[in-house]
Order: sequence, then structure tokens, then C-alpha cells
Amino acid sequence: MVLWTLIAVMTVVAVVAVIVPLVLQSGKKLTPAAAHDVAVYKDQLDEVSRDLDSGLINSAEAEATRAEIARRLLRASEAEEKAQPPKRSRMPWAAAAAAIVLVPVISVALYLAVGSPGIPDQPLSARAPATSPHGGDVARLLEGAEAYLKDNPSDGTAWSLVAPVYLRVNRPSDAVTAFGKAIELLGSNAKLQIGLGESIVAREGGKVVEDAKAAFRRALEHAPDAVEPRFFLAVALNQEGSFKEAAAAWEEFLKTTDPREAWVRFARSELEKAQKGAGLPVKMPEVAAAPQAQPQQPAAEAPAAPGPSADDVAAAREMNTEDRQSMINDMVARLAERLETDGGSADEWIRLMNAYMVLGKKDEARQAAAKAIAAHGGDAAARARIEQAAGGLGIPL
Amino acid sequence: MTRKQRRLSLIGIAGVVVACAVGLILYALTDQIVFFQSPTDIAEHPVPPQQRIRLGGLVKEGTVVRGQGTTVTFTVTDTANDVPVTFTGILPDLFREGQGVVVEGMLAAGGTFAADTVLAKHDENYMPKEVADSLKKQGVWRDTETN
Amino acid sequence: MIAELGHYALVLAFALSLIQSVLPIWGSQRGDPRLMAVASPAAAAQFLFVGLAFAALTQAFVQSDFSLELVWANSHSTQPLIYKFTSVWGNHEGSMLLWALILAFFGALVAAFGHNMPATLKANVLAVQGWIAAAFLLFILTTSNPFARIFPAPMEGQDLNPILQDIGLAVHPPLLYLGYVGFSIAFAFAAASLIEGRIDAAWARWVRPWVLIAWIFLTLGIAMGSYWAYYELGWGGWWFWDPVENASFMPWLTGSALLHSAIVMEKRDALKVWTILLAILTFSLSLLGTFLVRSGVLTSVHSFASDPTRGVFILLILATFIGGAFALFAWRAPSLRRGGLFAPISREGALVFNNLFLTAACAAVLIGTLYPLALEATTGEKISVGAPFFNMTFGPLILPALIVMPFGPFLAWKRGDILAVAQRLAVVLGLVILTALITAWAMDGGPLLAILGIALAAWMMIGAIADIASRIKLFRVPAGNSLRRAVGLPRSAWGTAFAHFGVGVTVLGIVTTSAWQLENIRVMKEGETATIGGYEATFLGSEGRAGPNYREIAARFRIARDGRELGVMTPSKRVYTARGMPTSEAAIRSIGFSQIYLAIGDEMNAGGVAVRLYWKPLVLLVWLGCVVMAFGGLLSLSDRRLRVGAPTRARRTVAAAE
Repeated sequence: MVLWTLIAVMTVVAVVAVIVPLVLQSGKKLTPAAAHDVAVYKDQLDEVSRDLDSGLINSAEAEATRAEIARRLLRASEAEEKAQPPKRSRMPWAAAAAAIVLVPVISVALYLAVGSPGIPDQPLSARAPATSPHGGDVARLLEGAEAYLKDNPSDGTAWSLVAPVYLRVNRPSDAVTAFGKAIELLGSNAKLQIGLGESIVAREGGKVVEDAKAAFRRALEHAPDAVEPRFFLAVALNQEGSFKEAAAAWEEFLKTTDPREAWVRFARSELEKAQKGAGLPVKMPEVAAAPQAQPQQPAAEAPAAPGPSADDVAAAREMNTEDRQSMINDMVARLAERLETDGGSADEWIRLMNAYMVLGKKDEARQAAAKAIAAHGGDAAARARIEQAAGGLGIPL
Repeated sequence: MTRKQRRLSLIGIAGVVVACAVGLILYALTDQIVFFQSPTDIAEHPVPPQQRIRLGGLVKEGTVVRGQGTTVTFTVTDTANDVPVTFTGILPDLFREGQGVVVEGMLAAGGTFAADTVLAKHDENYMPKEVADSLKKQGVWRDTETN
Repeated sequence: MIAELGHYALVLAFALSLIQSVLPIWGSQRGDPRLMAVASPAAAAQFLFVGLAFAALTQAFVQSDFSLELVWANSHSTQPLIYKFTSVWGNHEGSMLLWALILAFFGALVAAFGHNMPATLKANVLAVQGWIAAAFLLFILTTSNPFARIFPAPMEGQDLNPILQDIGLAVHPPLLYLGYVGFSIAFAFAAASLIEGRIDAAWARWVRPWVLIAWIFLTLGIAMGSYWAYYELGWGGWWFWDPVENASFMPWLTGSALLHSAIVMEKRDALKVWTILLAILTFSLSLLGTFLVRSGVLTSVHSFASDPTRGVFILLILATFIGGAFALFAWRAPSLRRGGLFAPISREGALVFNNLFLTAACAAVLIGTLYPLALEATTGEKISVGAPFFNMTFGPLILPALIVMPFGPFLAWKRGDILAVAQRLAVVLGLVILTALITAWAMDGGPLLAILGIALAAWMMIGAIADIASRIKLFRVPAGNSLRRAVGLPRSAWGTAFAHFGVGVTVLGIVTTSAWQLENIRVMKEGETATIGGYEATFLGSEGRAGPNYREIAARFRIARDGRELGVMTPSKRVYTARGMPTSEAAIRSIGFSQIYLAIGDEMNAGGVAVRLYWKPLVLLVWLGCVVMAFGGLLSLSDRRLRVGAPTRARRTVAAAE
């Protein structure tokens, strides 16, 4: 409301600035343009006299210059006399009316098209406490951790804890260092190598470079089934232009992964890119039967996401913010639509509620909870699970 | 001099100046420009040894060798062909293995490129345009910048 | 809410600029004073609202409001406050907003101080300014909106490109833009006079202060940018003939020509059509510079992002304004009353000479800048046009203008006496030859070209002093008398002398640095000493340090001369953590006008670091000369003659001699 009041005030100021001269300037005498020329030429004549007095020019030069300026002065004076008096017309009223209408209409219409009046300011000071999972300030936590690590640089566990935080707050270089330290001190394992690889990718702006590939390969040695290494190694193949190998890797990847996972959509587009690049026909593989797959859900349909999980972020990092946001919104919307038309399990409803909460859409989350309870009215166990989940997410019922 | 003559002489002087300028520019354009080549261009159409060129590509991984003093050797590749390069001086901040680079200098005997200038990218998202184009031709590099 | 208010203010400014584009010009065509009077308050309100938008964006940057996509992409919460400010224009969208703000600022200045111009001229000037503002505000709102939002806001920002995190950047773009955009007013004057179909000596008086302001800022902006590149990029070079530098240099060259031709127009009622053409050309080159830098046609540190729609939009603006202006010119120029002709040996003759060579030199720069683009677009062949091309073309073309420069102020208007001037300058020539001989003796000969260069610089500097000396009759009348004359001399005369002296200073700096610079690149281990230009630099060791948003390895060098210690220099290599990007920070020590320049490179496998040492004799004069030139411009601007023109105030008697 305050916003729209201030917008109204600003608009009034703008309109007043335009119409005041139209209304007030009732017909002040307009000096003809030639009168200004006359003034300048007279000044030039004075100048010549001064130059002559100070000896910068001799009298012959001064006379010649004076004669020339006088000719111009004469011409300007004639023009001044011939100048026509300004016209008066009723046009200003039309112009004023147009300004009163057009300024607000143009600006409000354009603002509604490009602006986002619903989004509040979110300065760092207002944002920091709310975004931390523990209600504390992440930056302050990190500062504490850094101070601790300065004194205890050989605490591998501490390094392994702080490393993912660095990655989350977009300090990938520090994350690379921290993961490296943790690996050095704790020994290599799949989780740390994956973290290292992801940090390097983030540092290189999404490019899977040689160092990152090496980290992912080491991760695969520890855990051959891990998803992230296979994902990023396949990304790397596409980036390098080895499309044939990439296509094979993506097909393999999609066959062995849960089709409801967040990265599947990205993986499919990468596969398509690889197939096009390799000159192969674009063809999506049969997807492995997912655990708990719903019978009414066609296997190949793109899955829904439970909001931005860590894996999501990994997949979405390749995109820019807008794409990422719209991808998440898309997926949530599709899940909601499917659940409302076809129904779904209690778990799926809970996932939708969770997604809405993460996106900050409290009302939608509450509606989803109500619908879920209505859909599972006959199933006491499911209903209890939904109510419990709603409580856990802080959704008022 | 009459008015007309004065005007003509003024135009004449201006014409002479313009002619001199055009002549200078044309001469400099044939003589003082540097062509951009990729390793493949050099392999396909060898350039005469005394001609200055710009060579662009990726710094091949594992080829950077720091020799005596500040002399550095490395290999510039477009994945299809390689050109060995020697350079004496300080490399730019963003010179890295596996990254794009443009070097300027002359091809010495034996196919080694003696560079006197090494240009790396200005920031982490910037790929010298010429390098990007020639790598795209080889299918190596794709736009990954998002901002 | 503040961000959204800023956004709305920007939209409102656009709506106002549309009103400002239409009503005043309609009024001037109909001769209706009320419609014309809309121009001034509309321009003032437009400035107010663009200012509000800019303030809102600044506030978002200072408070790290990452719900604005622009803030998120170009700022980081750990940045020092000063760089949160400079981040506002360290990116495409913000810098375009700054562009629009400065445009609106100049519009408001014309509205506030243009009371001595005829009402129709003022109305038309502000209307043309409204067209430009409308085009650029629409560009910002549709393709480069700085107020695009993200929700929810990300935790942390992407940081500003580290090489832009520097105090030089804080002032370079605003100065440059004040120059670029300032020429829009000259353009608006030219277009307005073409629309009205009348142009005369008085026009030159009104347009001159605006050209002067723009020229002063452009001079300082170019100097600042050059100094920034010198110390931040770590190569020790101060001019690279980079297309982006050329883009700012070309309007400076034509702007300088415009400055001089406007004098001829005012004094002799001549060169009118040429002056109009120069005004259009200068702003066209400013727009071309904006296009080259902003469209991503050139990849450089300045092209923050290359988005094809932006490039096409700017190209459209460019084509509309340049094409429109030239069409108007072709249509109206033949009907303008022709001015008088003059003798070649005269003050105006010298000024024409200056114009001829300045524009020819500008053409050489233009061709060298655009030729690679044109060649690649037509044949696909990639070339680079570097310093050798520009040295070979620009050098010889600017040289005659520099040599003739001291003659100009000595020549009389209408018909000068070259022999009398030559007699007066004979003393100067004697002093110049003496300077050259002393230099040659002190430098043990030295390259002939460098000695000639020194002579040229001395010729311009001593010539400028001689100009003042002869005007105040120094040594020909008693000293007190001379002093009185000096005080009474019009400020524009002092301005000319200072500006011309400044050119000489810059040339001197360029010549000494190019000819006698010393360079020593070597690998140094701790405890080793290298010498450069008689100074010894001892490598004391290196240490890691942490800054607010970077880490660095700083190497410490003790600088001594003849065993006497002068201090410690610490060049460093930084890594900015958010982007993981390394930069070099050179260490510079000024000794008089000369500098020792130290930069470090990579650590060597065999131990030790690569070190680059330079001795840059008199290098500071390169930029100091620009400051002197700008000061000359400022003096000229303060000349009271420039404020004359209003019929009521014409009784003032003001002395002014050029």
C-alpha cells in the first residue's frame, strides 16, 4: 500500500511539472531570437574596443573588425524588427489534458509489465538470519569455523564440515581448498571427492575441467554407483565435444537412475544434445522401473522435484537464475496438477507441501495439505502421516 | 585572389591532406596488420618465417615448461594440430593449462613459434573471440558463460 | 519497496522524456511560448526521477540486496563499502543507467542555465535531448533492466570482476560518460539549429560552454582510464590502441576540433556548416563508442555481457540518430546562410589547419578500429590492427597540427602576418634548440627521434608561455604593468595557453617514457638484488596476506640508491575468492615525475619468482599534461564572455581577446 501511495505521489509530481507551465505561463513576452544575436554582437564590439585599448590589435584591424560586426549587427536588428509576435492558441489545454492522461497511463502500464511490485527489499541485514537453517547467521558461523581452523589446521573433520558450507555460500575456491585439506587429512572417500569435484566445477563457472574429472573418477573408485560422478563425467564429455561417448554415458545414466530425481530433466536435454552432436537420431532410453513407481504415472514422463535439494542445485547450477527458478516452479506446478487430477500417494502429497514451503508459498502449502487430507480421508495411517508432516513443516492446518 | 579562387585553394589543401591520410592508411593497412591463425591454419598454409602473426588456441595440458630464467615453453593446440611456443617474460595472470591464449610473434625455423606477447583472457568467463571462433570450428568449445 | 520505487521512477522518467520530445518542438513550430516552456520543468523532473532510480539501485548495492539480479551478479557481501558503490556501474545495466543519469543531468543543466538563449532554440535543444533520453531509457527498460528481481534472494553474490575492484574504476566511467554524454548537448544544439533553419555567430557562443564541459571531462576520463590500465593490468603500458580506448579517443579528437571551429564561427561568422557537421560527428562517435563497447562486438574487459538483442537495439539507436541527423543535415545545410571566407594566413586559417589534421587523424583511428570488424564480417579473415598501424598513420597526421599549434594564438584574425609571428617565435625556437642540445648532451646522444620529440614538446610548452608573455608585454613594460595586464587578460586567453602547454607536457611524457624506459625481467630469489635505472631492488621475501574478499602473496622489495634506502615496495598477486580469479597488483613508487614499477609473476619451479622491473622516466607527465589541459578548459569555461547573450544583460563590458 505504501508503495502504491508513493507511486501515486511521484506520478502527481511528474504531471504537475508538465502542466504548470502550460497553465501559468499565460503569455509572457517572448524575445525574438534575433534580439539575442544583437546582444552578442554588441558585446563583440565592446571586445574590439578593449583589445584596441590594450594594444592587442592596431586601429586598422579594429576598424575592419568593427565594420564586419556592424554589418552582422544591422542584419540581426532588421530580423529583430521583422520578428512576428508569438501566437496564442488553445492548444496548451489539449496538451495539458494529454499529459494528465498519458504520463500516468504510460508509466503505470509499463511498470506493471516490467516491475515486480510484490517483491519486498531483501537487504543482507534483513535476510541473513532467515535464510540460515538454524536461525543463526551463516557468515558468522563461517567466521567462527575459520578462526578455529586457523588454530587447528590439522582437524580434518572440521575441514570436511566447513567445505560444503563454502560451496553453498558461493565461495567455490575456498570450498576446493577445504575439500582438498579434508581429503589430505582424513583420506579419500567418495563424498569428499564428489564435493571436491563439484567445487572445482563451480569455480570454473560450470566447466568440468581435468582436475574435476580426476576427482570424480576417484569418487567412482570408492563408490561405483554414485550418481554425481557419473553425471558430471557425462557433462564433461558433452563439453569436450565427444558426443558419441557422451550419448552412451547419458543413456547409461538415465537407465540406472530414479526417473523422479531432479537431474533427469537436465540429463535428458544433455542426451539430446549429445545425440544431435554425434549425428545420431534423438531417442530417449527406456527408464528403469523406479522403486515405488505409481502405476498411473507413465514411466517416461518427466518427474517432479521436491524443491531445491542439493542435487537439484548441482543440476541447476548449469543454468542461470531465471531458468533455474522457472525449472523448479515448472516441476512443482506439474506435480500439483498431476496430484489434483490423478491423485497420488501420501508421500507425493507431502513432497508437494514441502516444495511449496521451500518456495515460500505458505497458502498453497496449506491448501495442498487440506487436499491431501481430503484425498486420503479413508486411510487413517496416511492421514496421520500427512498431518505429522504438515506439523513438521510448520503448516497450520 | 578572388573569392572563388580562395575557396578552391582551401578545398585543394584539404584534398591534399585527405589524399595523404588515405595514402598513409592504405600503406599501413597492407604492411602493419597482423593476421590471426590457428594451429590448423599454420599446418595447412605455412606462413613465411619473418611474418608477424597472432596464433590462438588452447594451452595444451602438461606442456608448460619453465626453462632458464624467465623463458617458458608451451604448446598451443586447437586439438587437431599443435604448435610449440617459446616466450621470455612474465605470463599474464590468467594463463593456465587447458585455457585459451593468443600469442603474437613469428614462426622461427623448425616450426617453433617465438612469441613476444602473450595475451590471456581478461576474466574467467572471457575467451579471446578469435580463439573461441577457431575452436568452435574444431567443435571443441561451446558457450558456457551464463552471465 | 525501495527497489520497486526506483524501478517506477525510471519508468516515469521515460514517460516524461516522451512528453519532452514532443510538446516543446511542437510549440517552437507553432510559436507558442507555453508549449515551449514545458521543456525546462520536464527536463528537471526527468533528472529527478532518473536520479531517484539511480539512488535506489545504489542503496540496493550498499545493502547487498541480492533480490536484485544485478546486485547478486556483480557484488558480494564481503566487498569493502567503496566497491559496493562502484559495483553500481561496474556492469552493463548499471553503467547504462549512469549514462541515462548523466544525460538527464545535462538536460537539467540546459534547462537551468539556458536562460540566455532564444526560447525556440532552448525548446528545440531540450526536445532533441528528450529523444535521446527516450531511446536510451527504453533500451534500459526493455533489454537491460537493472531492477530485475530474483525471489527468493540468493545467499551470496557473485562478486565484482576483481580487476574492476579498484579506485581508478570508481572515477573513470563517470568522467568518461560526462564527456561522451556531454557531447549530446552539442548534438542537440546542432539538430535544433537545423530544425529551425537558422544558425549564426551567437549559436557558437551558446554551444561552446557545453562543448568545453564535455571536452574537459572526456580529457580527464581518458587520462584516468589510461592510468588505471597502467597500474592495474600489470603490463606497465599506458596506451594500447585497444578498440575500447580508441572509442573514447575519437570523440575527443573531433571534440577538440569542434572546440576550435566554434571559435571561428563566433568570431568570423564562418565555418558554420562544418561546425554543425563536427557537432553531429562527435556525438555520433560517442554513440559508436557506446555501441562498440556495449554490444559485445569487441571482447574486452569492458563488454560485461554480450547479448545480441542489446547489440541490435544500440545499433538501431545509432542508425536512427546518426542517420537522422545526417539526413537533416543534408536537407537543411544547403539552405543555411553561408559565412565569409578568409585568408589562409590568419588565426582562422590556423584553426582550419588544426581542424583538418585533427579530423584526418581521427579518421585514421576510426579506420584502424573498424577495419578488422569489417574485414571479418565480409571475408571472415581475422586480423589485428595494433600499435604499429596507429603509430604510422596517427603520428604523421597529428604532427603538423602540433607543430603549427604555437603559431595559432600569435596570428591575428582576418589577415595575419606570418613573418611578424615568425620573428616573435624566433626566440622560442632558439630556446627549443638549446633544450634539444642540452638533452642530447645529457643523454649521450640518444635516439634522434627522441631528441626531436623533446624539441617538439619544448616548442609547444615554451610557445604557450611566449603567447602569454607577449600579451602582457613581459620585459617590454615595467613588471608591475605586466602583472596588471596579466590579471586583466581574459580567462579564455589563459585557458588557451594552459591547454596548449598541457599538450606539450603530455607529449614530453610520452617521448621520455617511450625512448628512455628501462625494463628488467628476471627470476629473483630471496636476498638477490636487481638494478634498474641506478636503483637497486633487493628481494626480501614474500608473505601471504588476507584482504576482505581476496588473498594475496605480497613480495617485499627494498629500494635503494647508492646504498641509501628509499623504502619498501610490495607488489602482489591476488586471488579473489568468490570468482577464484587471480590478478597482479603492481607496486609503483614515484620519484619526481618518474616512477619505478614492480610487478611479480609466477613462482618458478626452481625457486624464486619472476619479477618485472621498469624505470619509467617522467611517465607521470603523460597524465599530468591531461590535467593541465583540462584546467585550461576550466579557465576558458569561466570566461565571462560565455555567459553573454541574454538581451537584458548585454550591457556588460567584457574584454576578451583570443
